[in-house]
Amino acid sequence: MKEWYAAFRQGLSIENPLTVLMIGLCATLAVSTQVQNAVFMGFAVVFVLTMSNVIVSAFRRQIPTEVRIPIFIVVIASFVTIVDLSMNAFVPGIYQVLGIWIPLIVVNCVILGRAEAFAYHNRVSLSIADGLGMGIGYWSVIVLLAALRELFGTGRIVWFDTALVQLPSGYQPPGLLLLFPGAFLVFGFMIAGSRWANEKLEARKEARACRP
Amino acid sequence: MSTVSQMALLFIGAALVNNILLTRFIGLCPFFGVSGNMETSLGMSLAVVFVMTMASSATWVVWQYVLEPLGVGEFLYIPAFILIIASLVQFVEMYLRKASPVLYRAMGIYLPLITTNCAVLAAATESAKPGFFKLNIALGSSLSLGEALVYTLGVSVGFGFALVTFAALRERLELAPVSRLFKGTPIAFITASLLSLAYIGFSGWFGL
Amino acid sequence: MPKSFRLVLSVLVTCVIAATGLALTYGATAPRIEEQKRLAEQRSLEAVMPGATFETAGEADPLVAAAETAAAPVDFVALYRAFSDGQQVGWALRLASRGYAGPMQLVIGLDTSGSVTGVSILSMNETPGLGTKVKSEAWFIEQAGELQPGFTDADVRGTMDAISGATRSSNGVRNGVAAAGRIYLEVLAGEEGEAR
Repeated sequence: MKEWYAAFRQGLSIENPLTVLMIGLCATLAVSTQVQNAVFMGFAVVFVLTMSNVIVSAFRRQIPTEVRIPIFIVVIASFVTIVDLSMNAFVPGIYQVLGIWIPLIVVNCVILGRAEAFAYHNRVSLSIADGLGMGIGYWSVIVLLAALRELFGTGRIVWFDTALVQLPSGYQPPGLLLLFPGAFLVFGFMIAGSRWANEKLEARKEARACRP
Repeated sequence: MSTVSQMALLFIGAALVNNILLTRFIGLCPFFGVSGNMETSLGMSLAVVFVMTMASSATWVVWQYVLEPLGVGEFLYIPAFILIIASLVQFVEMYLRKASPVLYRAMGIYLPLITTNCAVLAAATESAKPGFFKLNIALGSSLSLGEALVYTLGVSVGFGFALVTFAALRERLELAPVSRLFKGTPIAFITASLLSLAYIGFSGWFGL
Repeated sequence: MPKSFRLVLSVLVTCVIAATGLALTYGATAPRIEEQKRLAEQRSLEAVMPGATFETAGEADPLVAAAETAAAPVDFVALYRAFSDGQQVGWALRLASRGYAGPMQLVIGLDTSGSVTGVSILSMNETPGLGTKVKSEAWFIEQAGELQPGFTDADVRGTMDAISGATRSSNGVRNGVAAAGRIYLEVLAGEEGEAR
């Protein structure tokens, strides 16, 4: 159980959002205009990541090393297609917006990377922990980015037609944040912000360590 | 409209107006990954032009003559296309290593990276079943092989152009006085933001 | 060569299992996807002309070919005749007009006199929060209702104000409405009064 938690925690640790993010960049930036979309995109990634981890881990003794990459790719692509078809069938409104990004989950390097680096060498239960941890780490960063862009780009955060948060009406939202350049801009500031927070944390840790 | 000008529009539309990196957000991993210096970004661009064009022709043929006639395209195209791309990259790498050491040295190490490049998958899918990724709204409902080739060439040249421009900017940035917190990746993102703002200026050219 | 045979076999087995699984998923979801598409279209038709029943004009219908020509450069998708109590009360048009980020599917209702009864956006790829204002800010689409019967392209430009910050998305909708006006003047006005 302790081992399980460690694997989960490792994925979740957002000590450096870059490691979580730089590898799934395209979809992250593109769908993060609205919290609602980001939440569903995050779920899709968590599902594909965990399921492909489970399958790869369960058959790790049967998969020959030489052809493991094509096999991983087929497994991942199949789960992506399953997500694609089910979203189209059950949440058509969301699918309309996310539709083009779902197939691109296949080439999200996080998933292939985890299959190769973790699931292929570890037992199923740990692989589930790793998939969930990594997935939730990714999910929280994409949702945070979307929240920033939506809040400051439109002045409110909307969840299925109801406003969750509303800035005062005097706020003139810069539409730029919602366009593509805005994604890069906000993301750049997010990385700088996380560096700043990390530095503060480190400094506090050191200060505590120094105290007798 | 004559065929030549139609092809030219298709090319410009794919390369600049709907630039895959900066207006469509596809293929960003190498955009930040290898743009650290000019040389690597040139090698990567070359490899992308090469692989993308081959991959698109391959997926076009498979879609037109296998997936579509069998009626399995709707649910098999993702695994099929990604497998085609992956195996193609493998063959190209093996062939280049033997046949052309010069070319292999120039772009060999970037080839494996391309397998997991969304831009290649997106462009290949788009030329096989246009309209899906909405990469270029000037596309009709289906493309001939020639159009698919011109289109992919446009996408990949646009990709290379943006990548090399960005690499040039980043090399200059190395020497610029940047606040400690923003040094490296954060300022790269902000530069990318300005670059993509510039590409918005292309939108609406020639009514594309 | 048992080794390479094993390699090929394992890839093949994976592919076969994957393909079977996907075929099953597709079989299970395909009817539902179709159903959702039909429902979405039905809802849009209901929205533009409440209470009417609709009949799709088939491929062979001469009106369809004429409407396609009149709609250009906007893409014509489908034409529906609207009936209420057995009496034709108008038409609904489904058009694909180019917005900022790809085509927008519009459903536009016209009554027999040629005024717009409603506009509904069936699907679009516009930037959420920016281009999507054409749908979320209701006043924009309601402007179409102020158009006089037999309106022309110039009337649309004069009557419907664009949303600031979403000009190209607004133009997508305006071009669609203008195309509906052209289709009415050039094609549908002649059919007016024909009983079922």
